[in-house]
Amino acid sequence: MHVKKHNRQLTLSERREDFVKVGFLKSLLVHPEAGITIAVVILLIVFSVASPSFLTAYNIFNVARNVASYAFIAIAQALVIVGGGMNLSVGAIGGLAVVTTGYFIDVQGFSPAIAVIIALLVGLAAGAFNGVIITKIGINSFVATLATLFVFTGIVYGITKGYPYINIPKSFTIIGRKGIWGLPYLFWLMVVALGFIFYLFNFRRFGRWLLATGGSKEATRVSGVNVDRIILLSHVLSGLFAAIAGVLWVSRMGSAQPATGQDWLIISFAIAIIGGTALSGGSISALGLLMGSVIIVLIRNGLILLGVNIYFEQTYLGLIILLAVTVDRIRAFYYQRAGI
Amino acid sequence: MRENNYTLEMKNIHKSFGGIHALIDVSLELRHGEILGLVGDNAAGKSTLMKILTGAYQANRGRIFFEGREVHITNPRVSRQVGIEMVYQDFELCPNLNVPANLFLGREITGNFFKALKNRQMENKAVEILGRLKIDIKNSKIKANRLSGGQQQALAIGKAVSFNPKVVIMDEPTASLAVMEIEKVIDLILRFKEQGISIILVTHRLDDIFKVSDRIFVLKHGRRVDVKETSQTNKDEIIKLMF
Ligand SMILES: Nc1ncnc2c1ncn2[C@@H]1O[C@H](COP(=O)(O)OP(=O)(O)OP(=O)(O)O)[C@@H](O)[C@H]1O
Ligand SMILES: [Mg+2]
Repeated sequence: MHVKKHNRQLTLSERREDFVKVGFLKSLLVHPEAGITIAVVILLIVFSVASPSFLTAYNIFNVARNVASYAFIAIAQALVIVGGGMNLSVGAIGGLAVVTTGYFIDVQGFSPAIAVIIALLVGLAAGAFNGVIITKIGINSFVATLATLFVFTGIVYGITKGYPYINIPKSFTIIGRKGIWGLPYLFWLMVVALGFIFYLFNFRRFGRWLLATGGSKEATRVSGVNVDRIILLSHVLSGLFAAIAGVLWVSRMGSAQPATGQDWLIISFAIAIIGGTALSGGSISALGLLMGSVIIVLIRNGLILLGVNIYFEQTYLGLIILLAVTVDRIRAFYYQRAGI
Repeated sequence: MRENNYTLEMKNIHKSFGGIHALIDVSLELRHGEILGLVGDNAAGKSTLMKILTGAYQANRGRIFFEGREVHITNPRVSRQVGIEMVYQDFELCPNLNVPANLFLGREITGNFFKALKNRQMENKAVEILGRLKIDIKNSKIKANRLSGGQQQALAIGKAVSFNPKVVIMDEPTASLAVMEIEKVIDLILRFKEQGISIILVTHRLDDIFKVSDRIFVLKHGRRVDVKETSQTNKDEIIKLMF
């Protein structure tokens, strides 16, 4: 792939001038996290004013819990988007982890800890399966994970025949329902996960190489990096995070529902894209993923508060994705122009 | 024991793509510290020959010797380990990474603490490397897609030469540059020669070849036509050999 070329080299002062001309609002477009953070603040203020129940401890706790659940799903998606691919099977892997957890606790009577470990291993294996198909057989990630979406979903329904597992011990729901320092455990787990993402992409070779792969696969390959291994590993990690999201979902719900994960795909894309994970690959932001999750949850919350017909929810989410992608294009355009 | 006259020897290289014979029985010798110009018409096989050296392609037949020892360059990592670096026709930088990240891609400096990346140290070293090569990039935190064409090419060259390579291959390093920037690249090439690096320069610009090269290797329709001492030939003769 070619790196974009300028016709003419801008001097530093020209660049600064350009930047000033482009202005504050447009510079927000250039720095995705800044724009989205401001959007979050505005939404928070609007909701606080509009609804007296919004700023109650109960609602904050609840919103934080939803944000955390979504953030794990978004991380699972962002981990492969950043390398230039996608994972359409995030929700299906989440569903697999959910029924695995439920099956081993409810049917087999295993201790929850063992069931969780098995579920996470299933997630890793599913991600590895995706990764192997993509890198060894050479099928692109869209087609490969579209196929495994059905493979995994079929397994979920084959095992459960559509019935949920409901004999989940109360103790298992502590993580998903209780909290500390006014915020849910789920929220603190998410903070750890986002910290991990930040560390991975700023201080690990793997993260650097995955970013590079998303930027230019060819350039990364000729730099001596085993690109296939990096892509495979990113899918393994994606599977792991989808499985973590699934296990936490069981803990939150107190039961293992086979339908879990069916709406994750659209949510994962919406959050990742809003959060500054360019669809073309090569960028990721832990802060952006957090803010993206908050926005999606607030909008869902807000739609309910506004009393709109929630059966249209998928339509709203789809429109939000279109909006986010459009903003992404505009951002890229000004990024080119701003010269910073 | 074979005599070790050459830094690099390619012997009887064959390469075909489907039905196309891109290289037919090509042998190439690169002397210690020389600049070898590699010329030929479009599709003569120049890039293909060089990509076999960097492990991007595998030859169908033939052998490669590096400093007298046979090497099997099965992928770009092996090539880099041997001491061969290539500057590609189309830059091959990661547009989304900044200058130090590009410079150190594939050989990042890591610390003792869990092998975490030492970003500060790489930034400082990058500034040092750019300075040493007199590459004019003021803000090293800038991403590669914000650099001018000349800066990108300079960075790609910097990436190839800053880790003590023995052989540097440059495929059309000046193709997309303005005249001023071409001069800078020529200067860089001559400076690397002084440091004892052997260089293969692929270009359509015969002026550049005659300015810097010691010998000129002519490729035509995938075959080696001739190799001339630069001082004992002229442009007309080379052009005749090429077409
Ligand atoms: N990956 C490939 N697949 C199929 N054919 C190829 C491939 N790479 C090169 N070729 C063919 O091999 C022949 C030699 O190409 P090559 O790129 O080596 O020429 P070149 O001398 O570098 O030309 P130029 O001066 O235009 O860069 C051409 O016929 C080309 O079409
Ligand atoms: Mg070529």
